[in-house]
Formats: sequence, C-alpha cells, structure tokens
Amino acid sequence: MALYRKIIVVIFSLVVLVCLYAGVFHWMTADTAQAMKAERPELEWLRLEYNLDEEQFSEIRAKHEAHDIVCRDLCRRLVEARKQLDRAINEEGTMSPVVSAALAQWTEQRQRCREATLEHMYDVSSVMSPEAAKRYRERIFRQLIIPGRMPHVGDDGEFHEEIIDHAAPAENQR
Amino acid sequence: MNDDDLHSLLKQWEIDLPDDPRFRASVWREIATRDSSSCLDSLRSWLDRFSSPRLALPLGACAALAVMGTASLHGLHNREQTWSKLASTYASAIDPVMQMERESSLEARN
Repeated sequence: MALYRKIIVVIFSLVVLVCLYAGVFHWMTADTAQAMKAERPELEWLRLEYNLDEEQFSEIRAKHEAHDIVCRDLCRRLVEARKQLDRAINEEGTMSPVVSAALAQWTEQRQRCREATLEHMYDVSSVMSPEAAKRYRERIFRQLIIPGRMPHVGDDGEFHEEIIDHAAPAENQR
Repeated sequence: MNDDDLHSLLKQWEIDLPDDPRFRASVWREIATRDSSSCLDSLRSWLDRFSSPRLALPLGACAALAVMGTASLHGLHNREQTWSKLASTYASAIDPVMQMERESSLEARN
C-alpha cells in the first residue's frame, strides 16, 4: 500500500473515531438536551425523570401553575417577614419582645411556606405511579429538607429546627 | 604506488572549493532533504507495522471501545450535572423558602 494511501486511512480512522465519540455523547445526553430546549426545562425534567404520560403531565402542569401563584405570594410575605426581623434586630439593642415577635412571625411564615410546598408535593405525587411518586417525594425531601430539618415554632413559642424522622430520607438523617 | 609516492601525492592535493556563494545553502538544503526523508521512512515503517490486518483490526476495535467508553462517561457526567441542576430549579420553583433564599442571594450579589 502506498504511503499516502496509508496516511489517508489513518486520517479517515481518526475522523470515524471523532464521529463515534460525538454520536455516543449525543445519544447519552439526548433527553437532557431535549429538556433544556423546552419552554419550562424543570417541568420537562419532571416529565422525563418520572415517566409521565401526557395526561399525567398536563394535570401536573396545571397544578404547578396554580401553585406558582400561591408560591409567589408566600415568597413575598416571607421577604416582608425577614425584612421586619432584620429591622427589629438592628433597631433593638437587646432580645426584646419586638425581636421575639418578629422572629416568631418569620418562623411561622417560613413554616407556612414549607407546608404549602409539601402539600403541593403530595398533590403532584398523587398523580404519579406509586413507584414514581415514592422516588419524587424522596427527591423533593432531599432538595428541600437537608438533612431532614424543619423549622417551626414550638408550644413554648420558641424557634426550633428539628429532625423530621418520618419525612426525611434515611440517608439524610444524621 | 609506494608510501612515498602517496605521501607526495597527498602533499600536492589541494581542495578546490567551488567559488559559489550559494554552496553552503545548497549543502544545508541537502541535509534537510535527507532529514525529511528519514522522517518519512520512520512514518512508513510505523504505518507498515500497524497496517497488517492481524494488528490493525484489534487496534481499531480497542480504539473504538476506548472512544465509546470515554464518550459514555463524559455523557453520563454531563447528564447527571444537568439533571441535578434541573431538580434544583424545580425545587426552587415550588418552594417559596428556596425562592426567597435565591432572591436574597441575588440581592446580596448585586
């Protein structure tokens, strides 16, 4: 075989290997690329990750959009509560009833937000298959409550952050 | 020819260098040509070694497997990163606390 012919064969082989790399990479990341191109990538992730059919997906999408309005309102209230707490801490020179009240209000608002999130999570998981619902709940717990801590105001009116044994996934309980 | 003759002949011998100003350049050019041909020779011998079907087929298969393995690992890593990012985006979209924390961190950054 002539030298130049051999060189062409080597170059052609390298091109084939590069194409093979690109093809395998594209095949491995096809679903993520599809999700990223969607209008709401996070919902597309939900659809692909939990194998939702069209009916399930449209129901969850409607629930998501309804929850979005509630979520924005709660977020606004939480920001207000935090600003009040910041103001009270900066203005008061000691742990006064004003600071305590602002802290209680902020904690209560935070708990309300988390309850709304968990309520939505249960609502969404009720649409999924039992196996997908279990995986979804575990994932959301992992994202929201690491490592299974839930802030709340106790009977004594004080701020607590306790481990929710029945809620957090086993690997997050430390 | 005896030793004396050779001795006297060598004494008479003069090196007659050509009176060409491009002589040195042409010598270097010749050296470069020989060097490049030695490169081509080594390339040729390297190609000859690997172009026998007995070696080329396993070598090609190994290269293809290595490329596929590397591409799979890279793709898997990329997929996990994107998936994790989308899961966080989803969680912050449904959780007001995470939304607030995100807005606070954005405010702090600005």
